[in-house]
Amino acid sequence: MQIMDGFPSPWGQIAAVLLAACILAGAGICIYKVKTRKNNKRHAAKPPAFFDEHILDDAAIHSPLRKVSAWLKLLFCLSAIVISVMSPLPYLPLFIAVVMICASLFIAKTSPRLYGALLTIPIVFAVTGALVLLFVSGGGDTLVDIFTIGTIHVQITTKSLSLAVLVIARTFAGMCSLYFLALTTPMTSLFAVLQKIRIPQAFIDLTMLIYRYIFVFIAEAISIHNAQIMRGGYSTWKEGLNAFSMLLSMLFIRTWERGEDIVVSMDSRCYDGCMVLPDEHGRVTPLSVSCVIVFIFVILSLLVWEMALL
Amino acid sequence: MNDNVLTFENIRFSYPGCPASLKGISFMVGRGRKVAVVGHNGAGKTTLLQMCNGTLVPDEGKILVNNEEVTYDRAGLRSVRSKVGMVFQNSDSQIFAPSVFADVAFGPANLHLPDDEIRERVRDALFAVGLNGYEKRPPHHLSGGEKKRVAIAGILAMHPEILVADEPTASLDPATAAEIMDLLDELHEKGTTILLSTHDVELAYRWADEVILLSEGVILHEGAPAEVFADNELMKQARITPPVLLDLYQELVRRHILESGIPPKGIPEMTRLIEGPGPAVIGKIYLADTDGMTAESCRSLLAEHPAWHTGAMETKSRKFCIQSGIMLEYTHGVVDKCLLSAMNGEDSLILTSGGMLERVESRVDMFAKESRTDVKVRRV
Repeated sequence: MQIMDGFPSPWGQIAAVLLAACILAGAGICIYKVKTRKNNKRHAAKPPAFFDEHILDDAAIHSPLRKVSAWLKLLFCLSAIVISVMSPLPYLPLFIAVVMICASLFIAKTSPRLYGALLTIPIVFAVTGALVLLFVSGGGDTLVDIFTIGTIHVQITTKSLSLAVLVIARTFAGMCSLYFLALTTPMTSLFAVLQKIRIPQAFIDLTMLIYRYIFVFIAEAISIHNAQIMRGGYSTWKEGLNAFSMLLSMLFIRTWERGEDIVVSMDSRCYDGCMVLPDEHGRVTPLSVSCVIVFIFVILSLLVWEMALL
Repeated sequence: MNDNVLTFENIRFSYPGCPASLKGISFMVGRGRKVAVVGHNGAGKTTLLQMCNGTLVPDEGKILVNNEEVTYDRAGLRSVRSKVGMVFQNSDSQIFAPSVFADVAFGPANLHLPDDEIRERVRDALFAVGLNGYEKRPPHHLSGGEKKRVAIAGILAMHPEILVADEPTASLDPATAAEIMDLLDELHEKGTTILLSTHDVELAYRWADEVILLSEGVILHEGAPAEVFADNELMKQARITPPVLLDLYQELVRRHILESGIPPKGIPEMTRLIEGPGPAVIGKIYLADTDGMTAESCRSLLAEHPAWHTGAMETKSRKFCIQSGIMLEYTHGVVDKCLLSAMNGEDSLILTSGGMLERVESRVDMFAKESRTDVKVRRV
């Protein structure tokens, strides 16, 4: 997709940079809080056991929005993602990101700590990507000239700056929307949606088996890893490499065995090509539908306004 | 026509490239029996059980289910597997669907039942194992005991005639294991024949009608638990330790503290033997049917008799007690505990429902006859 031209005025540019900086700083503070939270018990420092293998799934299952129809949540998030990618200026994606963060924190009642920790992952990627764009892409007036080797100019220009900000804003909005979906919709309620949109049954069956066994294998990997650490695996770099390769090969063998067990277990229950979908019926209330419609209307009109600004 | 649900005739089997695992196994399981296959690790228990529903094909010999020989074509296997339900040792490999509902509905759906019936069977099966309301949970959000219950529910929903369970209590804590065994008892009460494998001799001794002692792929003995476990030579040969109760009994007989006779089946019988002549005062066991009770009537009954010990049997009744806020003294081995209280001159109340009422009465009657104690059960 072609990226649209720069900003209409330097003020817009500054405002966008400030807004992006604010959000980044907010996220940074969240991460800082996670990393330095007080340890009430005066035991030896233990690594924060904050992320376990089920954290996203747990959050989705206990979410107050779990019972809302998966279709509605999908519509809400997908429209936000598509429109934020279409947006030529960073304002709209940032607006969408703020709405999504508010929705996740206040309506879906996600813990801010979890949310901040989750956001660090995409922020790291987005910022590295944007930094490359900032220095490498060109066009417009030069703001800071760093150095030049032959034909390669490493410099920050107005266009590269606006591009970098736009990329960060879009990634951020996209991730916030996706997290809203991930934090409110358990996988089990998406299988029915997959079937309705005519995804072949074989894929859905596979997805269901994969979803079920991801957790089994993560648990298995963790127990192998613990067994290795207990006996001094990963003590040196070389040892670590060796141990890790053993973990992977063990995991492969276990996967294979588990696969055979599943076949036996399915056959024992007369498997005849039928997998049952989880029985989930979402709720659609007039309030939620009207909220989604209003939101889509607002972002669409903002999109039109942005297009008109250029 | 004999009434055997399952017959093994001279079964031989070896895994490819390995020495023989089963060396000529023959036995019969009568309808409505509770049979335990007991043996050390690697005795061939799992191999034997996997033959029951046609997962493994014997090299020699034949297997009969309902007096019909098992055939290993598609239709034959389907018909066998709808009659023989198999609960695996590892629940994680048995539960493969992403939610409890989807897993329990898997069997009925593959029997091509109509949607309404599938729903009804899932509801009934989950109710029977005491997990109603868990339909939407993903399996990795369940505890070990709950997973085992889901696995059993998945089999129950297919309405099997025989339930085959491989080590049903392995890796469960004792309280959960006792609950699972109570559940199997309830299912047995409803008419299912149960065949399970175990190396837990205590469990086999207390629970089974019949024990098949397996060692190195050969049946060493088949018979009543007391007869199998009292034979020290047999125990040594099978590399199995006798149940503690039986060991103690034999030791006491050797020292002439007890007279030799029928080995005690449980703690009440043992206590009775040690106690000698009957106690002066014998308490009563009251039996209440929770189906015909409300929370208020139950609470007022208990308020009238504060001295009663209370216990509940069966998943439904236990749930009833939790919901109506009744504090239970006994939750596992309820009948035995109440018999002990009765011999101590105290009264007790058992809350249960359905077929378990008769079961309690027959257990108490048997105890009364065997140990010549005049314990009475009275329905409230």
